[in-house]
Amino acid sequence: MATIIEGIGATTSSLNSDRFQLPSRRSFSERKGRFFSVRSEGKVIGGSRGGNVSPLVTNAVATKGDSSTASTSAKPGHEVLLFEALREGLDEEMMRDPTVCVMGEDVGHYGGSYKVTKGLAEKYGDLRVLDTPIAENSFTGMGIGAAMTGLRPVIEGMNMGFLLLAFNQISNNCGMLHYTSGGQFKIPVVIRGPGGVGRQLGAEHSQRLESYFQSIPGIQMVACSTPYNAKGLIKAAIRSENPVIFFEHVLLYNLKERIPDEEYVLSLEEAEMVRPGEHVTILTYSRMRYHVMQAAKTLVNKGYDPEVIDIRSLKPFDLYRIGNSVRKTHRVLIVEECMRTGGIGASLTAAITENFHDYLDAPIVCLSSQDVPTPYAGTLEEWTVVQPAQIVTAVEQLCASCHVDCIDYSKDYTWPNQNKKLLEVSSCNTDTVLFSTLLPNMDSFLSMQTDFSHESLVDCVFTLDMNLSECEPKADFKQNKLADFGTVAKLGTVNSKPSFNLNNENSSIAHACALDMSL
Amino acid sequence: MALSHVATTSRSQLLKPLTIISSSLRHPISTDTTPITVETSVPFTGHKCEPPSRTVETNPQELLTFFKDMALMRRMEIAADSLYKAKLIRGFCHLYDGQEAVAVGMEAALTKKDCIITAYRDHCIFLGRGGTLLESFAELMGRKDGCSRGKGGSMHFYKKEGGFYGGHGIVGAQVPLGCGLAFAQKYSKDENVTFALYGDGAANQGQLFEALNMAALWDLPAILVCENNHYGMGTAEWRAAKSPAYYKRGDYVPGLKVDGMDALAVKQACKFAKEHALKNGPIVNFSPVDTLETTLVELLEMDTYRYHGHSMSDPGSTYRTRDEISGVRQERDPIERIRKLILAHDLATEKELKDIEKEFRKDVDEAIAAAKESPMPDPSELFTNIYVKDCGLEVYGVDRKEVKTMLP
Repeated sequence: MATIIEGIGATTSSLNSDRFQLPSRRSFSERKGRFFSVRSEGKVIGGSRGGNVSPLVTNAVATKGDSSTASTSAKPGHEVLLFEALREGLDEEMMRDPTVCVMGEDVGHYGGSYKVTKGLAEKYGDLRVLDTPIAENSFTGMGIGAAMTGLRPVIEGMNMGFLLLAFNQISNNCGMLHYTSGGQFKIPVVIRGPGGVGRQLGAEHSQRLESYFQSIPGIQMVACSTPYNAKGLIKAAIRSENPVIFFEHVLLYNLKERIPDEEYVLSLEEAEMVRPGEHVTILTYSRMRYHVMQAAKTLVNKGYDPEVIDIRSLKPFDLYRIGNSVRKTHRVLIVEECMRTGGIGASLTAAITENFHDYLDAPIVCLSSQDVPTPYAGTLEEWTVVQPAQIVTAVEQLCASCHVDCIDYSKDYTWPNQNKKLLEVSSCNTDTVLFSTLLPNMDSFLSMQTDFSHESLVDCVFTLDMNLSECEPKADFKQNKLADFGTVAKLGTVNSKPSFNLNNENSSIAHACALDMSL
Repeated sequence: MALSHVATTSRSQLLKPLTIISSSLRHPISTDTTPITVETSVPFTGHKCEPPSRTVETNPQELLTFFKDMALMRRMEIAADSLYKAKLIRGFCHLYDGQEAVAVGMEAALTKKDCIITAYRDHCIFLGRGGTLLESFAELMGRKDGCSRGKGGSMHFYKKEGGFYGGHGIVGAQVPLGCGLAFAQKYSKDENVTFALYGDGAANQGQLFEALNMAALWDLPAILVCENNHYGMGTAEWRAAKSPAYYKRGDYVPGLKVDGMDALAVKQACKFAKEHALKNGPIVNFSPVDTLETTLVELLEMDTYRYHGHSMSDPGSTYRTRDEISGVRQERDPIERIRKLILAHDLATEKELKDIEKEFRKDVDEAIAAAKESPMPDPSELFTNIYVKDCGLEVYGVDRKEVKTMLP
């Protein structure tokens, strides 16, 4: 159909008909939701269908059945630091099952370099909490050999990076023995240790091994992030019949949280919903969870509603929870500490794209550490890792490329023969303006790009002439209200798709405004 | 120690009156346990320990068992050779012929509760531990009836009930595993030992010394056995090791050098090593030994030889002369030695022994035929045994279009 835009009070427009974009069909019914819209001045307008706006969950740490307003004195459970939670988990499992033993460097008399195994050697003896010499390859091999006969060793690498020396044992013997023996031998080991970028520890002690181990068949990988899930996951890992590589993070050992007194075991393959939301799914794990939650605070203030999921299980991915989230929000941001190349994010991107491509409105954005050895200097080290500000920018970019679900067509217009459409530009700050409108049959919309200079467009009203005769409106179209979303987004400057912004106002005139950056 | 499936047939054969000459002097050999004293070919050489005596006690039953076991192993390896050349066995195939005495002598000194772990030259040790011919050939040919369901191959023979822990492809990686087996034995306080076998090529691996250190430190009941066939694939030992005296390489660990072509010497040495390893009995309160002098670990070096090349793709003659091979075969062949002993002590006639070998030839051919009948593994077997239950992983086919299976 031919469309003509008349710009009122604007310079001559040049329509670039090459830039038509017809996005894929989506059904309206899937887009119901509740979220907030913020005008450019910063006022928050509640757009909830149901009525009142409920408080956002801004806790960085998700606790079981806990709400942020509960008083501390009446709370059940006890407070622990993360390393204490791990120790509790280990202690409980060693008490429960005499075949569980721990081996590693300095785990016994020294108490563990991060105090995870403190006190265990006094309690269980030197055989069950074994101080090994510095020979990662062989004591990992030893643990695997012991597991073949029925013990359940927990092998500690003092730093995950040291386990590179044991890669052969982990890959060939740990991962593959169950398969190559035709099922005769089980290897119920847990290989655990702290990894990740710490505080200026240097390149060799800041490694993220999850990307190297992830393709070994036969193993499972989990990453803990809170005291609650650390204890639950280590117990599950020890009880699992499969070899589990348990990733901890050097900087998370001193997190404090209240955990239940009673025994609990978490599922190894499940992801954790940290903060439900509507606009974007942020997938993360380990330390980056906290950067994401910090960014989430900023994002909420800006009017976004991110859904944060701590994936926990790095192999296999909990595609059930992730998929449902993607189906809800249609936008995915992955924030990880791995390197960009071949990291967990890369695999997750591939998995989501393969399985949930139809649900995605925008390409998956994966924020990872830089592909560099971690430098020693503090400022440089900060720049290798994803920071909250970058997460905020990424979410803004991602959400800005959203599409309008429906437009409220004023009662002034009658359908289907109306071929004039009012579009208003409410703000723009870039060189090109994109006008979008939803076609009356609600199945697709049309967006075009023009080359107006932006100053002239502010507060302009444009009419869009469309030949709509061939369109069939939906029966309930006139009743459709404006979708309650739309935020003023300050878009970034590079590589963002042309997008528009819908401003939810009291007026019934649809506003479509587009802000785009120079492409 | 007799391989179960041949035991009944050969026993029944041998109980028949065999020859008329001096039949009154001949007992039924298979159950005869009158002790015979034999001297080993060469004395043992010890390192930091008192070597056992040269004089070995044996009996006709044992000698005949040795002969039968070794003859079967030899036959199996030769048959595997022809199967490989017929392209029924693919990939890697490392043959053990010439080294049978080590497998058989070790079995005589151990029980099935003791653990043996070795590298990739594992077919005969698998047989010794209770594996059947059918399982071996089926696994070699990648069939469903193989010991590892066809998914392991030549280098991954395992037998859990027989205490045989494989079967490992990476050189030297099995030694830390062996120490782990010993650790578990010590942990559970059962009075068993682990024999971790490796070759002269693997003797230069660092993880071996790491494992040895840990085993000696914690008094693990581990015996490390170096099957020194003098060639690490194509490299002679003197070209790879500064010190080819592998039994001395343990330094603080007592070592013993054994003639690996003499099954009785191997048996004596392994018995000695097992007793040494269990000397102090299970330790109730674990405390690391803090003196250098006492260590329960033992390092055995078996001076043996392989007739074939390193594997089937290695002719075996580019780095050694054919004269050397035939020389060893004439002078030190383990089966010949036992055969001479049997004949010298009048335990059987030449013809009987030949009959036994013919019988085994037939058994091996039958097993091969049965293994050929065995089907290839089902395609769904591709995804079994990756995990032990627990995961709800979905696995897609290569085209990613359909879910092929749900990993258990």
